[in-house]
Amino acid sequence: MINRECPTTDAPAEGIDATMDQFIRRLTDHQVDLQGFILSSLGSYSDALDVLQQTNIALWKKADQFIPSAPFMPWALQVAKYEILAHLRKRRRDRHQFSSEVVELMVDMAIQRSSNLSQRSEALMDCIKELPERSRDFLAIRYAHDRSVAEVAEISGRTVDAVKSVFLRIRRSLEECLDRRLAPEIR
Amino acid sequence: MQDDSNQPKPTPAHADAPMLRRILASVALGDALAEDWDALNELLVKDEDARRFASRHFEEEASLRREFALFDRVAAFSMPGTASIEPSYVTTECVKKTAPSFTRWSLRSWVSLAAAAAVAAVVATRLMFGESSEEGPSQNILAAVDSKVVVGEFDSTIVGASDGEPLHVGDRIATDEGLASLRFDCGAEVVLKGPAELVVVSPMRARLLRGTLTAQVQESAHGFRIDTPNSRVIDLGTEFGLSVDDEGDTEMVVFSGKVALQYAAAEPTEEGAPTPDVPQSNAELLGDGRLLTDGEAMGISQSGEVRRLVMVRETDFPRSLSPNRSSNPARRVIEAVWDNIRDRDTAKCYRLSEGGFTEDAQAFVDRHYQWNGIQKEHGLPHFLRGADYVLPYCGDKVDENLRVTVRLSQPAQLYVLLDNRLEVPSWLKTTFKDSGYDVAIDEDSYSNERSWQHLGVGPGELLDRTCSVWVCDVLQPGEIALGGITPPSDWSVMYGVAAKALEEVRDAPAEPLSYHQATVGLGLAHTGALPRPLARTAWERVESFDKVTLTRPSDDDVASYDRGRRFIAQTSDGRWLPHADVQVLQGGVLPALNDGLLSRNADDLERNAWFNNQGRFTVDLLKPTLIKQINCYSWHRWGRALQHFTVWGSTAETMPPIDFQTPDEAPGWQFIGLVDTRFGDPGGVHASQLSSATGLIGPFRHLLWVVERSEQSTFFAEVDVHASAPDRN
Repeated sequence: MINRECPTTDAPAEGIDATMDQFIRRLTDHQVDLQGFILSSLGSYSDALDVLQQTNIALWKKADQFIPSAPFMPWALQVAKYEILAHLRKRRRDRHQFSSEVVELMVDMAIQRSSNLSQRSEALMDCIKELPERSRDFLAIRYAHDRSVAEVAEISGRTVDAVKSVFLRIRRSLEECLDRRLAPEIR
Repeated sequence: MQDDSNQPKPTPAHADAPMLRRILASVALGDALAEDWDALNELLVKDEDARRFASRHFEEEASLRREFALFDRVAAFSMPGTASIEPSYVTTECVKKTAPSFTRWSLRSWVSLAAAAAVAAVVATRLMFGESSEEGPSQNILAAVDSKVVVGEFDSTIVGASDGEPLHVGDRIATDEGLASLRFDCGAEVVLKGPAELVVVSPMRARLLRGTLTAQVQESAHGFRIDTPNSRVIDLGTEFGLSVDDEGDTEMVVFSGKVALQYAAAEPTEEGAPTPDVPQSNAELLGDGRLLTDGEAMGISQSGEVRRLVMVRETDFPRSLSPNRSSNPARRVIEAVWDNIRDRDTAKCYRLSEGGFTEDAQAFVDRHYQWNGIQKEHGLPHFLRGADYVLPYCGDKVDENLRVTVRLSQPAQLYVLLDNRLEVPSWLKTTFKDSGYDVAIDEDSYSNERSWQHLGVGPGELLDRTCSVWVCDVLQPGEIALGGITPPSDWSVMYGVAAKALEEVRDAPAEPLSYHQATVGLGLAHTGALPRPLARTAWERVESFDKVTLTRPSDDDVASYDRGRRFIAQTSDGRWLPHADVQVLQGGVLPALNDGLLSRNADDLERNAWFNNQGRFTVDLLKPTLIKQINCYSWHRWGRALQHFTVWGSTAETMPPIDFQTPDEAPGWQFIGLVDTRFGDPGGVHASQLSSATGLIGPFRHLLWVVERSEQSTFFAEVDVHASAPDRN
């Protein structure tokens, strides 16, 4: 599995370039945090992808406002929140999504939970490593190419119900692992 | 469905937790219904705990997606002989639109889109060129051999494939006729013979839905596993073949190493019986399992009945990517082979090689020994080259009344290759004739007892023993029954079986028998290849020199150093020299052989003389001497205790030339005897004795030892020559 930290250039350059360097590094390092924030606000993966794209572009445009010494995430999350709400205005009506009211509430919840984001994601990485290989293979079949349940069933030679069962079980064991590792207020 | 009542309560402590979990899981899996969303929205609006729980759930989902979407390729796929598609089709320029450091998952989704578009372009082009899959390979640049490959999503098609097409978890390969290679990054190499269908399930696992493959698995990938509709094959080391037919019947053969085979029992057990919904093949409990090793095989029917596979053809399984000698029924000589050993007593499986009898051909299914010609210059006898042959098995010979039946499909000359150490069985003597030709077997380090053995390449290299070729002319196609052999109980040996069409045999050039006999010095000397000895041989293996029951070592024999006799290492063009660590005095004198000093330990470099390879040493007794005994002693912790040499005597005043290869070329030398203690265990003290029934050998003035080549050349501690009474001074 790829390390979440994507190393960029070797030596930071001087002056403005150094700041850019820092910015890129931070942006890259926090992609998954941003993704988590946006997904938990919107509930829909494909929407979250689009909004993350927009957020990255917006952040990129504001790169000159970036201050290396200041914490990155609070700033980035505000930009993300803006893009989420902008998306709400643009999106089509659909029952298969969070209502606008829910989105706004979920954004607030996400911001509330954002301070411990990195601890949670670290713990999650550890818990994922503890998963039996069978489970990891299963998750890979699902997520490597965003396959549907039917496709996962076909590939792994099981029924759709069995696949759903397995997923529930895996999520459950991850939850339990996280509960062991994290204090309640952090979870 | 999970029962929450017994679980420790995680967040949230919530009456609707199971429903929330279920809906969130459905959302994550992408198949939540509109009603589910409605319920979810309603719940989240009013319940902060639910929002907290959902927030956590989605956050984790994001991490999971990222983690697993970054799954690298796990294997590379190629089909030799296909034109390559330009890489630019599959990689993409579109990526450049996004800023450089963005996450790989978005890169991936760009690639899939682009690939789909590119693929459509390729398919369109192929149609333009009017290529049909029935045509054979053509000059057309876009021509592929008549194979279709479906890689990736169910709908994406890549026709032909460039070398090393990356494969990812979940990719499915479907091929028509032809061979394809899948090299798993974990270290497993799979050659797939179409028509076939295979799915990559994980970096170390695949599913064969139909078709045939051979998997070769390195150390690093032990545990590599292939599932079939009714079994799982887990590799524990090296190479196996697997085949699934259209009815879901599985056949598995172990070429080398060890494999764990699991299969669903034909009758499911009471507990844990798979529910009707869950396919038998992937029930968590597969009823039965076996460890199978070299040469073993098994067939499993679709309903789970297992059976012994008695015979497979070499051509059934794609051992390599090179265009296989495919099976040619018209040219086939050996049609089938089977034996009368019960299924439950063995899982060993004969292998039929059509036209495969050549230098270094594998001799047995459960050994990596090789057939070779004895002499480097001459190789195998011509009439045997390219013969059909059977790879039998050495182990599992439980039945004294063994009967091996060979069915020939045309008039042929049938050969049985019998180990020269064995007594010739009566069934062989009555039906077959000894052709007078011999072939050799090159052994590897199969057993611990011969751990130093290596395989050589080609004829005359590192050979270990010889077999005589027995012949029988079979004038009508039909079945011939062969019997068993009676080796010592701790041996596992078997004869070889080969056959050539009669008409081909008549065309083979006749060759002198001497081209195909063991010569002296190469490590293959045996009584059958030598004249009648003047002496008889006795030998024993004991723990130490003082435990020798034959004549003990002496420092006062007629060949001892103190009496002025010298053992001289003879050389011919610099060959046959002693090992660099051996003390050699001027003139090639080897004092260790007769200084009366015995080795002090099991690896004494000072008090032994030994050779690199073959060796020849002589002693001049200064006058013709009547000899009572010739004794040799060796002490080593392992292979260098073994002795294998011949002794020759000459009455002439001047020593005759010593560089002869065969007894016929040794004028002036008389054959005294052969010592071969390799039948015993290596390690310890080996003491050998050549003595005469009449009590006297000779008279001889010169004595010559020809030490047979060995990968562990004998540590000679002492050589004693005892004269008869009047000649003792």
